[in-house]
Amino acid sequence: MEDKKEGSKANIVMVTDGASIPDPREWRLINAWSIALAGAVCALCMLCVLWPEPYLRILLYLPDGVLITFKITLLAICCAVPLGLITGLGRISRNRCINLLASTYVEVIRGIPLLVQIFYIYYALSRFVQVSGITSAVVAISFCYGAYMGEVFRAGISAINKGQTEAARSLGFNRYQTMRLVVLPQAMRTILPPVGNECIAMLKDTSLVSIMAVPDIMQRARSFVGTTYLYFETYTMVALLYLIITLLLSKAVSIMESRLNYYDAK
Amino acid sequence: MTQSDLSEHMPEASAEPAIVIDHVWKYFGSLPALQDVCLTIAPGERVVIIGPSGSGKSTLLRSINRLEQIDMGSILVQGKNIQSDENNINEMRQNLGMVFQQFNLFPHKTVLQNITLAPRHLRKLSREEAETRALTLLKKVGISDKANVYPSMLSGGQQQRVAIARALAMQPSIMLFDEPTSALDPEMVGEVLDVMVGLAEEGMTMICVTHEMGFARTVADRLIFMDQGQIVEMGKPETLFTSPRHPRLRQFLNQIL
Amino acid sequence: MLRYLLSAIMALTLVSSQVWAAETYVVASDCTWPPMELLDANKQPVGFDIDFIRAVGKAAGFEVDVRNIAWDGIFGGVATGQYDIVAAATTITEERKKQFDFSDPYYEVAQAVVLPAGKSIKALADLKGLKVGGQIGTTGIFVMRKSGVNVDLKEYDDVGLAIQDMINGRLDAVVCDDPVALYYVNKKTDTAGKINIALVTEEKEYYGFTVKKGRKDLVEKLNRGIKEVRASGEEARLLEKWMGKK
Repeated sequence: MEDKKEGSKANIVMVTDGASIPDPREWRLINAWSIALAGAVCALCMLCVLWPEPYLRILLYLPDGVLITFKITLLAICCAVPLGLITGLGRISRNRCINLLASTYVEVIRGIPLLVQIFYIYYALSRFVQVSGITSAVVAISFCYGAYMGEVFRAGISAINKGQTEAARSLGFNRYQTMRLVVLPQAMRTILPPVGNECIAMLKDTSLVSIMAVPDIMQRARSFVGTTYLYFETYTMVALLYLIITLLLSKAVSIMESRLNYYDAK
Repeated sequence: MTQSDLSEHMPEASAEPAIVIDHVWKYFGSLPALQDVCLTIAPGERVVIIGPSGSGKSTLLRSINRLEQIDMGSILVQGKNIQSDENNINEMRQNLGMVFQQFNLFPHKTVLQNITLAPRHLRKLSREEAETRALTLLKKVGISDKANVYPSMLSGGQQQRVAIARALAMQPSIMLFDEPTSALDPEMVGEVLDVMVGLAEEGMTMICVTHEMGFARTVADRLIFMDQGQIVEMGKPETLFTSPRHPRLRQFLNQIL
Repeated sequence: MLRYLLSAIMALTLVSSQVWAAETYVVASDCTWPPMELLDANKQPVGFDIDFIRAVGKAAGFEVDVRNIAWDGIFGGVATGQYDIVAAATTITEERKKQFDFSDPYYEVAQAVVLPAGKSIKALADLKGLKVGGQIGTTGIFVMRKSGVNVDLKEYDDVGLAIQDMINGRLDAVVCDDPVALYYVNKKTDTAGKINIALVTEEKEYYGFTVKKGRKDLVEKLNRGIKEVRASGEEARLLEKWMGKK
């Protein structure tokens, strides 16, 4: 009877504010993703072709901002994913000290808005350490999303059937080997979509860094508006640009997800 | 008597028992799952444990390789205390093959990878050596043609035979079977039991928790009936089946036969 | 009959008194630009511009309802009619004139380059290669861009953050209107003494009240009010109050 307890935690519901990841099994040509992408690309092209002034001018003003946005997002992903993994492992650790540390970190970070964290690291902590805008952005976003991803990793790891751990341990693997060889590779599959989702949400949240005078897409746009007062035109282009980027990224995550489904029965 | 006394008195000869379970208690919360269980198993002995569900038979089996922590008493495997920090439990488990009710194959690995994973990482076998060994085992369990498929493509019976091969790949001297056929469709029970009978004939030390009375009758050197966390009766299977002494065993046999 | 007539007249007076009662205009200001506009201890908008537009309203016969709006969207709001007047130290520029109408100029400023205390420059060109900050969408930024000096231009949400960053050492210079620079250099206790004005541009700029394109009536009222505020000596009083000028 004692081994019937398994599987009750198998259903995990995760709600994030990222773009929804397209279902890799979706085969139809016309779906929400393709409509949104085609619509956004068409709108962008049409605006630029039909009214090059000001739309094309706006589009040409933004690329260096896109680069900065990508740079911050990429760096933050590189820090947040390992941080999330460590936090997730810490949260399920049997070592009370590590567990408490990881849980407290998650609790504290989740209770503070990202904007406040960014302000805090850049302006408040500048009394002690001085870091550039981009560095504070990466640090703030990594810490924030590290906590969120910690929960994703924790949930993904706990969702793996206890029998898998028992089978590995009974073969003689230690806890670390069991995690690395058996649990994590399987957990990746449940974890990837929400982590991808978090990464996309992260990209969107980089728009907050413009308060530190970091010239990302959003700040380039605001700067453009500041001289031209073309609010509608500029922010239309910005919205389309973000939409196209996030749609492409969500597709990339979806493709990766389908790659991870290799071991499923048809 | 303490654990150290026991191991000191144990002779280093081949006559050393494979497993000594000594006054073991185990609680789930305040509920006793094992109550003062004592059992000694000789090398090469085939022991089958039966009993109603919740009788503690799976718990006892899982205590032997420390998947369950016991609360009192001691368990010695080949003279070594599994609770003691001096003995590396991971090394000891390599010598204790285990087969689960739910197979617990690694779904992200192919059949071949499932079997070679532990030998390659723990026994440091080369890929070729490990695969040769795995293919031999697959032939033995009768599914050598499925080496490169994922477990999800196999039937339950096939999965359980792979699980047995996986446990055997570590060349354990003792095999633990935890209701290996309970999750199978009836038509697949036979193929798994055949493999287990074959293993028994080779002289493997086996402890098997099962409801398959036919298997118990043909294979077991000793049959153990457990109820409410205690060993109620044990002896030759013929004796227990034909003339059970304890009323609870009689009742149990009446229900299942 | 007489009763009907009387009541009709009364009704008419009531309606007309409402029509003739002073109209209220919503005024937007970005209260991060001291001493032109800032928030007082009670979080109420105060400052030279705020007092000035109130005085103008009083002279021209309208009420004002001042709201604190972030600079970033302040022009968007007046364009869509969310408020009637922007009184936020807005320099009249050719670009802005294409999109909005302005009152007559009411105040003259120049751009000041603020440096950490002890540092100095002789010309804008000396800023070459340095990190220069300003408030996003303000003339300080425009002047730096137009100057053609190759600087790393950082655009902050408000000028206070830029000054703070310069004091922290992450920024080499801040460009803003000279009254604002003076305020941070002399009056604001936590920045005074740490910074100094190194340069004030020759070129002058003029503040005007901004209204939606085509609101000639409002421009006319504002201009009439400005004239009257000047003539009555109210302007001088406000200058003394906020700028310490006589």
